[in-house]
Amino acid sequence: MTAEMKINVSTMKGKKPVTVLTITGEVDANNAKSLEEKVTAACKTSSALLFDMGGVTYMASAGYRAIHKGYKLLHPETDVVPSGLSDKLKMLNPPDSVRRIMKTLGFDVYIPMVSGDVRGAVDSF
Amino acid sequence: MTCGARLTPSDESVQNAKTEFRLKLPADLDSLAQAREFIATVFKSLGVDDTLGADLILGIDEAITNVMIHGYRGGPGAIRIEVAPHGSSVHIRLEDHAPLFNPTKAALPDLTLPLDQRPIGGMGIPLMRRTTDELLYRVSSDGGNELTMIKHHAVQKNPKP
Repeated sequence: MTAEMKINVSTMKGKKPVTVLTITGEVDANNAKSLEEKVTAACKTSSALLFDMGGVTYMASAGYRAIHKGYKLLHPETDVVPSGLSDKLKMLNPPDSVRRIMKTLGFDVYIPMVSGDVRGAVDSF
Repeated sequence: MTCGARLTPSDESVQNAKTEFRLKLPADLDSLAQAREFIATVFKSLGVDDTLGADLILGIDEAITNVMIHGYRGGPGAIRIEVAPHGSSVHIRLEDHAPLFNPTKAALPDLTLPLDQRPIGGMGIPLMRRTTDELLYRVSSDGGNELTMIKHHAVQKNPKP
């Protein structure tokens, strides 16, 4: 038995183009590498990343690692982030289990977690 | 207590007379989902709170992942999982024969650093600690690693049939 995870990558137009990574299923150490690869590839062509997490049922540290990597690629250390929350990387509709761990890891101070539909989230960038 | 289908000996897991649930896994990341499903099934039968249980499963998954990746380093090996209720507490014991490593003594990353200044990775052990009340390590009688993860007041409901 292996964890089932699917990632769909698309680009949507808002005030600026936003790469939307729609993740469904369970993200664990066994499958998070493909997420990390997709995040890394997206950061090469896009300056705005939205993780649509509504379909995620479980996420282990390997998944948070992939998101952290995306954050670091979009916010190099020389980049001055005016307020704590990123305007380049956001999370849409994370389940409560993910929200709790985002807080535990101190990610919630830097990565906005928004609710609603994809259109509204894209337009918020 | 009745056993669910996933807790039968034919499924490599056994419930013994002392109400312990055991599963032996190969050290293969492919097995992580099976470990989580086994623990979830046991927690449900014990009446472990859903939220505490979900967080605890994450902590256990991190511990098992660390043994597979950093202990056995992708090589062959086995990990034994034992779940046992103690009053309203739940104890999870993990045993392996990877090189000895005590995760309770490991240095922890600073989770208050801004994300752009934090090194990537190293979140497994902090999650093991934050999702449990006690993390106890010892070298087992046969020379392996033995990690016991304890969550108090985890059993908050009547067990589900």
